[in-house]
Formats: sequence, C-alpha cells, structure tokens
Amino acid sequence: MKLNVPEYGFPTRYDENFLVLLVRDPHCIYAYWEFSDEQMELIAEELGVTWGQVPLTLRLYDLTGINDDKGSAHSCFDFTVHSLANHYYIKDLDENSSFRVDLGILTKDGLFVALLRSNIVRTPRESPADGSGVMWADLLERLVSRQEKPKSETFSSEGVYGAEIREPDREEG
Amino acid sequence: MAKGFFALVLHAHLPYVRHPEREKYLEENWFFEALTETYIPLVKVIDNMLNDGVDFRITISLSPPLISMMADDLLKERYLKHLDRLIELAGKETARTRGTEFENPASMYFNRFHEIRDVFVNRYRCNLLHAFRKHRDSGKVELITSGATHGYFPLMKNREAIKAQVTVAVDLFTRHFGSPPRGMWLPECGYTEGVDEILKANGIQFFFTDTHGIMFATPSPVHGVFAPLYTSAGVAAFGRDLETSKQVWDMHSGYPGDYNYREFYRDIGYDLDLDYISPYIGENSIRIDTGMKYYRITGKTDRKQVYDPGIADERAAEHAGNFLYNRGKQVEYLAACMDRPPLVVSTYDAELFGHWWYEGPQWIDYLLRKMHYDQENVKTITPWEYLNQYPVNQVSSLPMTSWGHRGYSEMWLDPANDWIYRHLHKAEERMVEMAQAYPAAEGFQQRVLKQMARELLLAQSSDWAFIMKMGTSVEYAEKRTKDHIARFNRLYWGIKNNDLDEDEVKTLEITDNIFPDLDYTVYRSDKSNVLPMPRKGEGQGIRNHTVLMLSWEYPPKTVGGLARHVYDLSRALAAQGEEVHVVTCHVPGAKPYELLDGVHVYRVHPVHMETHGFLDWVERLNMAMIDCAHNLLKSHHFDLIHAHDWLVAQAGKVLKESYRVPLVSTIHATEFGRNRGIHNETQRHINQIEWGLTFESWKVICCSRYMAREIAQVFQLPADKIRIIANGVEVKNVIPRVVDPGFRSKYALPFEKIVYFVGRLVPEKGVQVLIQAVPQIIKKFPNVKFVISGKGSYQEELYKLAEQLGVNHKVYFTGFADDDTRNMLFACSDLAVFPSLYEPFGIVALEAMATRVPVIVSETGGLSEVVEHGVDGLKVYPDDVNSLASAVLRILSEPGLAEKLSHSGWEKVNSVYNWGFIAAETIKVYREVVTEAGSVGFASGQ
Repeated sequence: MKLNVPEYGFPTRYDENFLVLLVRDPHCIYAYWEFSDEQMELIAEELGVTWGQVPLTLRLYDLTGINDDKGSAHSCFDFTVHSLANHYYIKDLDENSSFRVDLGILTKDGLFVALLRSNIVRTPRESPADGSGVMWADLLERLVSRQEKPKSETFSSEGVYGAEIREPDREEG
Repeated sequence: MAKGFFALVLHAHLPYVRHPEREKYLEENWFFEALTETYIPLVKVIDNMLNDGVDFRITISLSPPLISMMADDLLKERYLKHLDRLIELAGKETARTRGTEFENPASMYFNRFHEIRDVFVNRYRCNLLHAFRKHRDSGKVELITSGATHGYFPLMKNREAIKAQVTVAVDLFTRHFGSPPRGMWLPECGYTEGVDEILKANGIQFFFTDTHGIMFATPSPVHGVFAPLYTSAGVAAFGRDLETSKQVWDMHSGYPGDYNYREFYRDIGYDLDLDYISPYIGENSIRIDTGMKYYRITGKTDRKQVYDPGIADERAAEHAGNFLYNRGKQVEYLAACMDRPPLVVSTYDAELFGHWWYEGPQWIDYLLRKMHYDQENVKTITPWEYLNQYPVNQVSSLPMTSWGHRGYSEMWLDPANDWIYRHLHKAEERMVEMAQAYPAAEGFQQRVLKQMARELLLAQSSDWAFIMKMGTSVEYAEKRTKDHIARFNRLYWGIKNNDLDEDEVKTLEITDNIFPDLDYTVYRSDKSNVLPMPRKGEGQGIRNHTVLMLSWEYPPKTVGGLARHVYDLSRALAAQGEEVHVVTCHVPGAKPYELLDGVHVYRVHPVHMETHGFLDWVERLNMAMIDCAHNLLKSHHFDLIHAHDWLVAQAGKVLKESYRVPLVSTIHATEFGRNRGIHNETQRHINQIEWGLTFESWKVICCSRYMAREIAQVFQLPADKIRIIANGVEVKNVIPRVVDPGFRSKYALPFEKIVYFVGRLVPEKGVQVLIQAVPQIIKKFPNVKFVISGKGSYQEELYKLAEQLGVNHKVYFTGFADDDTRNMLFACSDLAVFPSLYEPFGIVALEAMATRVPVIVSETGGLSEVVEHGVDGLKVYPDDVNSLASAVLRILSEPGLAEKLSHSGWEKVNSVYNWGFIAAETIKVYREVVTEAGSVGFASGQ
C-alpha cells in the first residue's frame, strides 16, 4: 500500500487574543498568551512605538480563599515581559493557593492597563492537610446498570451526608 | 483469615504507532518488542496459573491505543513477519554459537520465540484481546483501561476534552470486551479537580493515584494509602504503596538490578557484524535492538559475563520469596494500627516486566503462586472486591498530582515541550465549537468531524511531551504532534470553507484509523448556552480571504523551485482557512480542475500551440489564464490576486484593472539578477515586464533582504511596497532518522570531531579559506577532521592547496554526496562551515541548522541574514582565514556554546522557516492590502 499523506503547514499562531494559565507544580505556574495583529497595532499606535518596544507587564494576583474574581486580591506582583515573548514561568509560589494573571501595560504615571486576563488556577498541596472534618461514607454504586443512569449525575454534599446516616446497603450487584 | 490484602496493578500502554504508509517503520518496533517481551509472556504466566488452579488476583490496565493496535489486522500481519524474522535470526544464532559460551542463551531465545509464536498464532489466532477477554471472564483478572490516547488530564484546558478521553476509552473497551470497565488508570496517574465527576458520569468506580495524591488529600487520610478514599463525586481513589514500588522500581536497590539478571544494554543488534545482522535490524542498516541479549548485568563494569537463564530464574524465585516475606511483615505491622485489614496497592508499568526486567514475568508467576500455596497472611485482591467488602471509606478531595518525576506536571510542562499546549488547547476549543455547531452531522460531514476528533486525540498522547522532555526520538514525537495538529486544523477549515474532497479525507482516515466507531458529539458541552466561536479574531468576525493565485507552474508541472513554493504556500494558506484558487498551466495527464488539500487548482491550455518562441507562448498562456479567471469571477468574489513572477504579469495586470481587485506579487528572481545585468533585447523585454508587475502590485513579496535590495534597485521600488517573507525549509527532507555509528567511522576516527562543508566546489563558496585555516586549527585542536562534499571546477586547486599546506590527512573530500549521505554527514558532524564569498540565499545553512549542527557562516548576502551571530550560529568575515580559524576553535572548545547555538538554530528553522509561519506572514500582507484597498474604494463587489 502506498499512502501519500499531505504535509500541511503547522500553525505558529492564531491571530487571536488569549492568556492561559497552567499549573506545573506546587510552586510554579506557566502562562502563555497571544495578541492578535490588530490588537498589537492598536497598542503600538496608542503608545507611539513599534510593537517590539511595547513594555508589557504581567501582573499576578493571589486570590487564595477568595471565591470569585470580583473581589480584590490579597496581593499582586508584577513581572516585566518582553513584547515578543509568548510565555512565562512564574516561580516561587505558595502551594495550595489560587492565582490569576493580567497582561497589560504599566503607564508612566503608574497606572496598570490590563489587556488580557487569564483563567484562575490553584497550585496543589505538597504537604499533608490537617485531619479535621474527617467524614466516612459508603458511596459505592452497586445495582445501577450503566445504561439507565443519567450521565450528568454527581453527588452533592447533601448526598454525602445522606449516605453517612443511611445504613450501608448490603445488596451485591 | 487474611491479615491484609495485596493488589498488583499493571498498566500497559504504548502510543499509537501504526504507520500504514510504509513497511519496517522504526517506531512500530516499540509495539512488536513489547508483544514479544512483555504482553505475550504475561499472557502465558496468567494462562498457566489459571490452568494450574492458582487462586490469584491481578488488575491490568490496557490503554485504548494498545487495544486498538492488538486488534489491528495490518499490525498483526507485520508482527508475524517480525516474529518470523526473529525466529530465523535465533536459528542462525544457535548454529553460530554452538560450542561457545553463548550457546545456552542463544538456544533459550530460539525456544522462547517459538513458544511466543505458538501462543500468538495457535492459541489466540493472532488476537491477544481474546486472551485478555478470557482472563477477565475468569474473574481473576480485573481488566480496566486508560484515557483514549493517554492524554494527560491536568494540562487539558476544556472539561469536554477530558470527558472525550474518558468516554471514547470506555466505549472502545466495551466494544472489545463486552461490558464497560469498572476502573480507569488515569494517564500518568494525572488527577486534577473535576476528573472524578467525569469518571463517575462514565460509570467508572475507581482509579489510582501516586502516594502523595492520597497523602495530601483534604482532610488528611486516616489510614494513609492503605485504604482507598472516596472523592465527593463518589469514585474511589487507591494510592500507590511506596515500599513495594521502590523494591521493584528502584534502579539501584530494586530487584531488576541484580547482577544475575539479563543486561538490557548489550543487544546483538549492536554487537554483531553489520553484514551479518543487517537483515534483522532497521532499514539502511540502522542498528536497533533485536531482543537477543547474551550478557548478564554482572556489575558496574563493561566486562559483562554471559547470561545464565537457570541462575536468573532461581534469583526471580528468591526475589518473589523475599517480596512475599516483606509483605507479611508489612501487613502485620499495619493491621495493628487500623480498624480493618490494610490494602497494599502496587502499581507498575507493565513494560517493566519482560521488556526492561527480563525475568519480571517469572517473578510475577513465582510471587502469585507462593502467595496462594505458601501462606495465609496476605491475599491478593482487586480494588473492586475490596470496595465490596469495605464499602465505607473516608471522603476527601484530592490535589492535582501525577506519578511523574517529583509528582506533579513538570515532565509534561517544560521548556522542551511547553509549546504544544497552545495548539492542543486551540484544537480542543475548535473541536468543541464544531460539536456544538453540528449536533447531528451525517455522511461526509460526519466523517470529517470524526476524523478531526481522531487527530486531536492522537495529538494529545502524553507520550509525545514525555519523549520531548527525555530527549530521545524527539523528532518523531514532534512530528507526530505537528502532523496531527496540522491535519486537525486543515479539516477544521475544510469544513468551514467547504473545500474538502473525499480522497483527502479518506487518506487521513486510512492513516490515522484509531477509533473507527468514535462519536464526535462527546465533545458537546454539557452547558447548553455556549455560543459558537467566532471564525477568527475575538468577536471581530474578520473574514478570511479568497485569493486568486497565478503561477505558470504547479505540480505535477515543475521546472524550477517555483512550483514547489506555490504548492507549499497555497496548501499552508488553505490549512489556515484562506480560500485559494490557483490558475496555472496545463500539463498532459493532469486534470483541468482539482481540489487538492483545500486548494482549487485550474489548469489552462494556451490556445494555438504553434507559437513563435517562448515570449509568444507566455502571452498565449496569459490569455488563457485571463479567460479562465473571467469564468471564475462570474461565480466567485476574490479579495485579491497573487501573481508569482513575470510570466503571469500580464494576466495579473488585466484582471486587476478589469475587476478592480488589488494585486500582490512575489518576485522569486529577477532577469537582472539571473544574468548579472541586462545584456540583450529579450532580457530587456523581460526586465520591462517584471518592472510592470512590480509597478502594478500593491505589495511585492520577496524572500530575503538581499532580494529586497535587488528589486528596490532594479525596479526603483519604494521600500514600503516590499515585504520580506523567508522561504520555507522542509525539515523532514534533511533529517536522517538515526545515524549508524558505523557510518561515521568511514570519515573520521572516533575521537576526532568533524567539521563539515557541502556545496559546489567553486571559488565563491570559499572552501579555500577553510583549508587555509586548517593548520591554525589543528595546531590548537589536533583531533579534528574536515569533511568536504561536492564537486566543481575548482576541486583540483583545492586538493593541491590541502597538499601544499600539508594537511591532506586532515581534509577528506567525499566527492558529490547524495541527499542521504549529506544528511547523515550533517547529523554526525560537530560543526558545519559555510565560508562563502558570495551567496544570495542561505538555504544550505538552514538545512544544517535543521539537523541540529552548529554553523559558522561568512557575513555575506543571504547567509548573513539567516544567522544571528552568537545566538544561532557564528559569523565570520568573508575571505578572512584568522577570523574563520578562531570561530572554529571557539565552537570546538566550548561544547556548551555549540549546544546552545545548535538548539537555537533548530528552533529558528522550525519557527520562522516553517510553512505555517510563512502562510501567516503572507496572510498579514493580504490583510494589509485588502484593508488599504477597502479604504480607497478599490475592491471588487463594492
């Protein structure tokens, strides 16, 4: 058999605006981003420089314990990044903490103008949690056959407590 | 009554390495070796225990790619051929080694290969899935599976992508084994928040994590890893026991390092004479493992002793005894601290047993038999049985963890592989978008959507990122990632622009044929209110361009490099969503119209073939092109015309004027440059046409700064009208697959470094400068060989020069080198030097960079443009012996620098000189022109 598979060009970028965070380990997250051509032109024009000279700032917010991103962060920290870079490893973070970053421009009078905003991520634990709130339950699914089960079913916290109080179901599937 | 339980869990996985495009594909061997060394021996061990009535439990995870490869007819057929070759080799070896110390191991292989063949062919009719199904039905083997292509969940962006990995895997498993799996091996044990809900929704009851996945759960686990936890979604998580994993895995203190066991790294594929072994190794005599290894580990020495299968077998039995003794002690200790019998979960890569640790399958056999016959304290169990006996467990939430180095994601997210995620995530998004947009596609459209899902899934294999990080077979892993992503995007735009034809899709279906029954709607979002993604840009709704491209040649018609360029460019544009219509010249045998990889190609006949010469013919060709375009323009709207070189200038000009569509041209070469001036009427005429084309064009594209200067001078073009976009380098044409160590020794001694030059041997290439620098270099650095490939009018002078300088023993002229030889020479060189005095283009330096060789070029013309001094190569003054000698010495004596330069060079070739990038740059020029045309009211249809 002779197969001729076409070689398609591999895209290097997508001409879109995005900023994404990924967690690498308890102390390091990775940010990658892209600006569309249009966005780059606009910004460069606004600042009266070429894109390569635009001073970008990556602002890291610590959102640990804050449920939504409306509230203010505990603290923030700025990193200068080159406008031609498209990713950054942010290191020396705390375990078990939540973060978000904005990529933007720090104006001369100290104002931060955010251009891209990331998703929120959480670093994993790297040490044992405490033992408070220990809970035991029988969550084993025995009789339900897969086909009949609605696919989106999940356990709520009420379900967990319900199962704890309930006498364990001993029927075998 | 047992004091405690032991769950042995083996995870078997290989990436999908089926390559129908040709025979003896190197990477298919990964699968064949694993069959011979691990999977079939394991099947044998389990069969024997079942026959002997041993009561045992074992949990085996078969990943979906592995299940698919085991079920694949082409691979079955190829494996059988592979096995027969192996048996033939073993037969020869028993004869050859008779009466020598190797007689014993050689005949062991001969017998084992026969047994393997017997099990595979006679017992299971070439389908090992029959074996696993039988084992599963016995109730003693808990068969589970893993993510669809072993994608690493914690680094996926969309929940739908993880859901698809799980659902597709469960479906495939159910099809092959009759009922769904109860558990799942998370690829790389990668768990992250939310995975539990997806597992639950797919009927999965349990999964495994590494030790710290349980230990760092919140709240803290009361029983550590010796009892499972439930996540809040109601799925049980079992943690790996540290002690047992160390005993088997650890490189130094683990069992597999015992000196009596077989040495993995001494294979006859490397040790024996090349002529003898070459039918049994890779193509072009590339040395690879055959699986026949005659030595034992012996110790920390290179003087290995001969392997004795009998003694090794005794050691496996002793180690099994030792392991069992330790488990007894372990559960005794643990039982005293717990309210129930402890469970020790030992999870391993299946390929450890047999492939790496040759005696591993025997060890499992001894261990499980001893557990059954010799004692009562420890019983084997499956996770499912344990849950049924002890259904009440602690509920906790688990942190993101994996079983990779240091326990999180650093193996799969590292500077060596981080670039893949922006592409994988974009493909995830696009797949979800498509599944939302086409909730119930049928027929051809459904086939395309299914194929898109396959390409995405195949690109996601965690193996690719892992291989890139580990640094061996990197090219293969990168190629696979890029190929699948590129195919995915081509299909995405193909659906959007409706320019796919059946043959193109069929080729991809045959090539990437995993999951024949895949349901692409698994990518539909659970959330109903997700809006379809805008086509391009965020909410901008920027439409892609429709381009009329004119080129006098296009494959299959190829005279110069132009056809290749237009072909690659037009395909790459189509793959990024541009609609490209190429009008070109007819050649006998080619279709007048075809849709080729998303590019519409029209081939026209110049009328009245009795022409009066080339210029006349060109005029007729242009007339025919204009006619063709008139017809096209009745039904199509074009945003711009892109003309390549002067031969199509007239058509470009006429169409531009009559339809008011802006014109862009690419000038590949000029008549002035080709002839170093204008010397006669014909040349003047062509020069005039060229000028006309650049005059009429809104933007003129050329491939280097050098060319830009030339056209600016010759045609008096203002600089802002010229755009420079580099030419592409086909990296795959340059990379040798593996370099045979024997090849290098034909050119240099093992301790000598190789400095390589390839090119025509003419004065302007500057080889004389290199030879003049040799005495200075070898004075400081004697162990170096200068290898020079090529021929030309100046070669005799160069031979003489080497002789006069007394360095002819250090300079090796290979004569003309064909592509393969040249590529292999690049790959085994330590440095490539291009000391040209004059060089309009720098392709040769780029090709060297593509093979990861550090380069030195002289600061002239195109060469100077491709290298950034000190970043991805070194530059020297042209015709300057001292400058060249010191640069060569610098690279030879600073391995760190050489490494850095070659790495950056390679990155550059893969980014700036990649067709995807070139297409993106070209699209930028299109956009610029279209915007400008719109603003001055010059555009058709307005």
